[in-house]
Amino acid sequence: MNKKNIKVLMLILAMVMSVSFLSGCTSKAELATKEEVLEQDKEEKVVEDEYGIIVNEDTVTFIDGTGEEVTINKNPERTVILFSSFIDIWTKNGGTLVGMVEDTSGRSIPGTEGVETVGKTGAISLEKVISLKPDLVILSSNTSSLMKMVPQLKQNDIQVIAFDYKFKDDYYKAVKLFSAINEREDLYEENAVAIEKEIQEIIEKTKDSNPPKVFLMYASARDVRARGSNTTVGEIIRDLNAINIVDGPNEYLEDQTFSMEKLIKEDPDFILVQNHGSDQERVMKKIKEEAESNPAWGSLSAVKNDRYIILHKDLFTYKANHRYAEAYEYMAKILYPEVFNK
Amino acid sequence: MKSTKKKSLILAFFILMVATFFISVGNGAVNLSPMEIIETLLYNKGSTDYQIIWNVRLPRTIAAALVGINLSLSGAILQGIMKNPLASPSTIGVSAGAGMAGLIILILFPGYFYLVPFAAFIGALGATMLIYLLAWNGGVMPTRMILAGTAVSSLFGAGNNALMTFYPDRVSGVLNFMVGGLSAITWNEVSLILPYTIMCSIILMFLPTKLNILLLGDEVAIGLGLDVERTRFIFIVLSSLLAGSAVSVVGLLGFVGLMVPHITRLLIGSDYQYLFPGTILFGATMVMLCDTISRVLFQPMEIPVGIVMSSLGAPFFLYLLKKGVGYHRHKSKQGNNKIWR
Repeated sequence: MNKKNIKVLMLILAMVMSVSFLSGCTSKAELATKEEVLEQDKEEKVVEDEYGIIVNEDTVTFIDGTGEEVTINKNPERTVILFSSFIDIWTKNGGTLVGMVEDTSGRSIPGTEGVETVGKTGAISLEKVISLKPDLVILSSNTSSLMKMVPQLKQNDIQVIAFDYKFKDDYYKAVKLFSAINEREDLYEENAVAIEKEIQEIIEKTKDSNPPKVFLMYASARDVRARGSNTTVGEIIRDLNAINIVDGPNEYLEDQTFSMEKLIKEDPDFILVQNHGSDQERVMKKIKEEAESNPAWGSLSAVKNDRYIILHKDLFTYKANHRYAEAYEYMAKILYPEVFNK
Repeated sequence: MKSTKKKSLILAFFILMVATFFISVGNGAVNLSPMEIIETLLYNKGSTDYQIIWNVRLPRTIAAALVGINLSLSGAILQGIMKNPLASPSTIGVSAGAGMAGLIILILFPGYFYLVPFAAFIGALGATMLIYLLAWNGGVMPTRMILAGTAVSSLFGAGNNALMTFYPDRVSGVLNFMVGGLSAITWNEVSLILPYTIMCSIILMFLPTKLNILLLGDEVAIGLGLDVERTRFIFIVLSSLLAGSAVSVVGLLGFVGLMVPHITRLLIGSDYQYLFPGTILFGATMVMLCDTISRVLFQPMEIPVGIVMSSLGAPFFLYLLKKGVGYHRHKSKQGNNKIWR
């Protein structure tokens, strides 16, 4: 258990104890559940580190996001995808679709023309999914509203692939799994192996440069919402040998509200901004203006030197997928202009 | 409780508030000793530390104090005029109105995010007026107003949930507004809220007797020559202005408006002549202290101030309640407002 988890647990413990002290009841069960959850998190991580995919003649077996061993029949005929980041990985690796979650990214994905939509993320119609008579449903194990549907899908004899997609290894795993299920292993070479090689080459080029200090944040005018290296874009920055000022001394962090004081003290070389996409240009222009006119933000070197950069939404707000190498290159050009913009 | 004891309690609250102010300015994610802070402010203008103290920590501490004052005063007024211990700014629709307006902007028109404070303020006042009109029936009965407030709040709440369901991809951008927090406060926000704090506090200093009379019940109050409806309306407008301005700057910060007046009442009694200053001082202290903890505990990460406030305030409140301070010891002399004595 890392330091942060212990602190959080202690905070919860203090809260529970203070109330139970007053009411005269103990809440050991609640605490035990919290510990179990933390333990579970740990166990899940071990599984995620390996692909663990076994390809048989008619089936593919792998460990899913919940740690369960799952066997899927090859060449499904009616597939429904409920997590938008998986849609183009599936279609690019030999898959076809009969239904999918509404894609809000605004990108056109080849192979999805005329495919029925089954609702928005968070508001998916299970009836609609089942009415499409799928033999395979693919979803994210990290979305509780989707995971709730799994038992009912299984009751209807529908096979389910559920796993988490956060880092580039998850992308490679998805490509390997999907191409194996669709018996198009050749596409794994093209969509994963080649991309991995390209990414490695980009990373190599950054090794001898002075690592810049980076602050990665989620665009918001009301909050200093920082992202550590334990996020999709954070991983790219970390791989490129840059220093994410949000990370702790011994740990990579996720989404956090970060101290404005600390940000000014660290004075990063780059401030990189992510946004949720809609109306993006207008939002970004305004946020940038606000940062420049705000005395606290305006004092930062990154803002003064025009290194307050809004990240490309197709590559960084949504999962880059087959454009992963492009995302690395785009980021490398920002962080190491002297190496990549020769 | 004798008035000298009450006065010394007010003095103690004041000292506590001043001490908390210095603790808040003296502590943060960046370690600076008191001497360094003074030197920086006096001789080192333009340095990084000056930016941190002057442009980040000081406005944040002051905003925390102002938000604490506004929300607590608003709650104290409403608990008085509604004669209901559960009344708080959310009872008159402030949270629901501000929340709805804020969410509409942040989710449907994110390009206009800078209008959120203005919209939230208008939303808060609009919701209060709507509830007031719905509760009006030749006059406003507190019970009817509370019920109308609950109904309107749940209606707005449904609207908020619908917005979040239809635009799940935009929810992460609004969470901070929904929980409430002080992480991006600058002098700009301080200047937005300060006029309301000063104006309303001054007005309230002249009105404690009116609120004390209202507490006696409408019939007695009318008998004493008070225009009940007008007085009640003025207090509702004041509390809506106070809470609306606070919420527009920090988001939907709950709990303060409910708990601080109660804690102060338990310690100092229900006489608004003492309760108003007590609430002002204790409200400011509470939010400044909790905000300091929220930014120091996991630094350089921050946790929402509401979490700290509830985890500190609720047990303290329960402790006072269990000890029976205030509520049980004072039997009502008037008989019709036992709950407050």
